[in-house]
Amino acid sequence: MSFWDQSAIAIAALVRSKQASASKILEAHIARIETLDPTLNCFTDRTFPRARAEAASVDARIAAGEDPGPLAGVPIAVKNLFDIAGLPTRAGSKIRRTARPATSDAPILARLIRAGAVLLGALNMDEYAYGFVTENAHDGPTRNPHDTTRIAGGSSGGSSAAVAAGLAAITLGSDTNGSIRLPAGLCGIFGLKPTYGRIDRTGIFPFVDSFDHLGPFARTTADLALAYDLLQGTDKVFGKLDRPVDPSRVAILGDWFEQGAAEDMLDAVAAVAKGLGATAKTTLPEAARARAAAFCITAFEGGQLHKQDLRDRPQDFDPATRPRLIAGALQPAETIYQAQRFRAWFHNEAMKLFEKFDILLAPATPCTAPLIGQKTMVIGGEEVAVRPNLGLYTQPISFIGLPVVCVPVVSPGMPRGVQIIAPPGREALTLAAAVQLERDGVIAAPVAKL
Amino acid sequence: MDDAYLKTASALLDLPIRPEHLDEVMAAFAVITSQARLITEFPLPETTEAAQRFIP
Repeated sequence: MSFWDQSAIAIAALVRSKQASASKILEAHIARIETLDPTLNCFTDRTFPRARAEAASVDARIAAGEDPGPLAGVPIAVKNLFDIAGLPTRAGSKIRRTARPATSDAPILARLIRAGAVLLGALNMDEYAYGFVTENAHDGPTRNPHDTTRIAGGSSGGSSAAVAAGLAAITLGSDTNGSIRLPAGLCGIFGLKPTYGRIDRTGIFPFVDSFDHLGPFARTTADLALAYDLLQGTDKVFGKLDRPVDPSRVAILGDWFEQGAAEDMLDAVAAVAKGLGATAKTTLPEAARARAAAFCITAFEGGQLHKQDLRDRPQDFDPATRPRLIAGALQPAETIYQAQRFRAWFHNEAMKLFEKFDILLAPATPCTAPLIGQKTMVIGGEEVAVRPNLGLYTQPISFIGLPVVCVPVVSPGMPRGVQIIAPPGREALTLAAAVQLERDGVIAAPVAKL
Repeated sequence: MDDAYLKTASALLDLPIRPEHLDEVMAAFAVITSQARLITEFPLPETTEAAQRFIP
């Protein structure tokens, strides 16, 4: 049995029933990382000695007749903006790699470890989470496991590629403008961006306080739901996701969320709608302005956060990040104030839409994964820059903090992700829809063939 | 106009732009300005308050 292609729940079942030891499962994952990661470049830090100690501890508890928890022996990894005890939290930067090492794990990482998980290491990302490509100037690009000439997406590119390649069963990432949904979609796995504020951000290096979210990646909906439950303590969804979705309460988002999308991405959305029995189409008004407001607030808050270093050592920033942070920090107050007013207005419009619908559908990206190093792409017949435009359909949604599961639609070619969007606090709705689609074979996330 | 604003803001806000970075920052600022226009041109009701989250 090749343990690296098993789900987290399957791995935990093997360990808890003594069919395989946590140590044996860990070594299978370490071997796969050592074979594949020199090409894929998912990991920036490997914590194998710690992982071996954690796996041994799980095995000892099993031997003593104890239950190590629902993630017993499950290999996990986290984006390198999560605090890991003993490591500097580099957040994709050169500047922070000499920071004082974290004295403890981020609390949400600690939750997973307490549930029996084993930490493999920290994962590559765009510098300070400001990007959609994970072509990091300091750590190199993370490659898409489905085609290593292509990007994994970002900013949580290492997190998504690691799961897609079978290097870890579950990973954690962050999403400010699409950084969970976008790489999940491009790498063909599941990603959950919960409601804004749902998950504790303590011990996570920030980017944009107004929009920062945390969430899990996985290869099955059950793993995603289990991880979500473990990451927060109040919204227990695992085991309650068999409620059928009402097709009359599901709609495809038109207008902005269709304009410029490649035909195969629209086909993916249609496949999800069909799988849920939905036929309605609706409009979330002024989504282009929502994207613009998210764009400006992001640049401003990110620029303000790093202003001291931008002043003192600008040469140490990734060249792709530096100009946007400097320009963002220098914006007039009027823009940011009006953008935050617009945010309240747009949220109100979305809430009106949710009076009629429970679930909204949209592509995760305008196209499948671009090539590494590709500067431009064609959207709606117009040649535009890749980096700022991959998040066209994710930014308006995180702008108002809605919960989203990005699901991988079964595809003959490169992966295609679709956003299943719900009202605030209704993660269970998005997960129930994903469970139904997975059961019916519309969506799936097998390990990439490498 | 953008260039003049940027240079003034850089001086007033004490965030100098090195000569070798000026072109890339000006290009980034031009993109931000085009996006900002979409926000500032939109007429919001006077009663719309900013979506700040301060919870005392």
